[in-house]
Amino acid sequence: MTSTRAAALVRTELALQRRHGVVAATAAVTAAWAVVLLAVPTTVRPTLVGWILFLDVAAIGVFVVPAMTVVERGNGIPSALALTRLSPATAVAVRVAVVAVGSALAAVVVLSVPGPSRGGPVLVAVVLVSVLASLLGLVALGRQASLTTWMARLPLLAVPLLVPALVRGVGLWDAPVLALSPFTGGLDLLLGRWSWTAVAWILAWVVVLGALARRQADAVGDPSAGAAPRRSEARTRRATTTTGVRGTTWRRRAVASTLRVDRQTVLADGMVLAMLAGLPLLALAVRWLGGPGATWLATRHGLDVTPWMDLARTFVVVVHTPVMLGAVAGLAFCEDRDARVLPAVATTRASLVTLLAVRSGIVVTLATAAVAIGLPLSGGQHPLGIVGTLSTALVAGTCALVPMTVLAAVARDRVQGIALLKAITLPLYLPLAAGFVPPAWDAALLVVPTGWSVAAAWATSPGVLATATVAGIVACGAIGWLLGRRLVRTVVAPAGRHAAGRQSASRVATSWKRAP
Amino acid sequence: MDGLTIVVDDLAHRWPGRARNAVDGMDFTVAEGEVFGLLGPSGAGKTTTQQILTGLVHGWTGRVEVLGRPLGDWGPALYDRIGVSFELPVGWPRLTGREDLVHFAALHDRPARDLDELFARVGLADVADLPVGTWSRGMRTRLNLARAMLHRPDLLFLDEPTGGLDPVNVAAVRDLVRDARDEGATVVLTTHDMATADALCDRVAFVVDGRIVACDRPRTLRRAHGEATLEVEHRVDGRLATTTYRLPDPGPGLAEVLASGTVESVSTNEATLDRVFVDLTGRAL
Repeated sequence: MTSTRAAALVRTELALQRRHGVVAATAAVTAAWAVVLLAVPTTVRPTLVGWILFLDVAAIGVFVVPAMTVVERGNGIPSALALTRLSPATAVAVRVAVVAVGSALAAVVVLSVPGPSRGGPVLVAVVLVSVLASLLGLVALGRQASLTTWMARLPLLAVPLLVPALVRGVGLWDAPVLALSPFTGGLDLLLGRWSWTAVAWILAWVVVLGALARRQADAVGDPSAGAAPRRSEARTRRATTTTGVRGTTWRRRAVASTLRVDRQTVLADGMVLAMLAGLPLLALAVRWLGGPGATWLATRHGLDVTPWMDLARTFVVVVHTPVMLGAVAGLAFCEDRDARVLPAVATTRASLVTLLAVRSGIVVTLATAAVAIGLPLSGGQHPLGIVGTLSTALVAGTCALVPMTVLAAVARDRVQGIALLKAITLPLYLPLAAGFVPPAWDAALLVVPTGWSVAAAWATSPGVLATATVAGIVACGAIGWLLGRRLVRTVVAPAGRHAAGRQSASRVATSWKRAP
Repeated sequence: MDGLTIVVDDLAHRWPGRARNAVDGMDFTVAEGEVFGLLGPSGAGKTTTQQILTGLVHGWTGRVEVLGRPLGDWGPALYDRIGVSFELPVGWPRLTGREDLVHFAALHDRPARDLDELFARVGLADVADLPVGTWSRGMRTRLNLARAMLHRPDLLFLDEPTGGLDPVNVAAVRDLVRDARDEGATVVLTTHDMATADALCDRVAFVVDGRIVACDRPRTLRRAHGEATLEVEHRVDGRLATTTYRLPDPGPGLAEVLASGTVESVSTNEATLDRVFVDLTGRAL
């Protein structure tokens, strides 16, 4: 590849990332971390920097690279590239490299807060971990063109690789076997513990994951690689008969049909179902950790995890589960937007309001049920009994509306959806810091909607529980309503630009009224 | 053409962040049962106008009446009366064409057409039970059209309905639009396909920079932008010659040539709609 062509490729990649909002999202998150670092005591900063780099700055690629790849696959770009002299592997390499450089630049900003002492080796580590994360995201995507599938697959690959790093990083357990995960060495490097062995091990993983990603890219770019599977005749016949449903109102038919389409699209992939089925397994894992696991860790390694179990339970069941369910529903909206389906639905009698209502209903019901079942399943017992559990489930379930409507109303395509998801995920988990910070900070954490879920989960008096439940439901409901309204009003935008939320009120000459 | 289906008066809209209006003081009416064409170069404001008329865009100024009521007074019930075919392919890639239309039929409070007949009419009967993700662009364009006509709307908005279609399917789409008109529907057609506009539209409006610069019957516009001449190809001493006669008074020469028995062809110099487009918009197609 000539240097001119390489420069053009990098330029295009940079322009794409800028226009998809990746650069802006990265800059915003980096600035937010810089502010957080400035707010914490100077003694905490050096350690915190390592964790921020590991969990966020170097992990940008795991979201961005698959998301951009999905959008390109949806627009037939791989087939077009296959007819050029650019190999799919080169295109992947350039994208991963540009993201790694972006991560390194963000790292420079974050590292500048605690001081200049940590420089070079940590930046090398950021690049290595970034490349590793990007390739992991691509491998999780496989040959699919669906982000919901990717989102379901990613934890299956990422969790086994991340857990060893986290376990050793927080000091729970230190054993050589944990170093089998390349992220364990990566975290060490980011925390300033340089090791050539870790570098070599990461590079070995990069080679393997890179080869896998290259195979996938070659297969997708090959027009003869095969078409999508055909639907069964049985399903088709079933669809045909539904036009003849009688005895129900059109509104019921609309809701039933919307549910059926979501089942056939969002839930068609077994991996998404596997992710949903995995939620109770996560709760059971927490239960094991709080029971036999705690005993084993105490006797074998002298670790007492009991004081952390409430936090772990709240993290997994009360915060993570609703956020994940809301994110899947939000990404379904992004996929609909990319398939240009939303304006088509908007010009039906049922309108986007039906789609929003159906998905909100499904998500809130699923999340509420998952939390209500997950809390006792994980071995937790709310201080206020069944009322406490149900109230927590209700407010936590409503919180699922937040990631769903943020992605639906703000992201104009799947890449922005993923960038937004990355940007909002950590803040949504922030209220768990109530387990660490002084009680005086608790009220500040209620700015985040999930703060009310955490407050309800840890409430020890009926008054606090009632306040957290009502306030949480109202706050999340209001956010969902406002963002839903924005989605409805900005479903179309001029070419090349998203008009979301910028319409001048003074120019509004009409308002939609319900038909008499 | 009894009443007016659409009345647009001093319509204007500016997209947020844009320096100029996408629609800038537009006036036109569309009569009941009329096929009305919105023509013009890309970015002229045709699609924005259609999006306003279909209630997808807010924040416009002016007066718009659709199907006898101010647009702002319509709620979602409007969508049972109108059908919209979008310019770009729309559809869930994982659903079959039939599943797609079954779903959209359920989203309307109006009886749907027979799907088999509809698929046959748009030439998609063979692929109706395959996932839309495996279809060509032309097939998806026809699915857009089928979706728009699914609930027998009174008013059809068709944005580039012949985009990406081969001549056989272009002819089929033209027949579909004629059938819709024969059934009593009013059609607003937004297109760059001048031949289709010429063949289908009762009137066309040329849009440039958000304004209508001409609005009339295609034939009237063609005649206004062409030369009133007649060209006759005929043999002179065995060789082919072309003589041009000015209309409406060609003089006695024409009758002599026609009587000579040497005429090979006779044609007028009436402009095509493509030529009218170039003349009015200053841009090539």
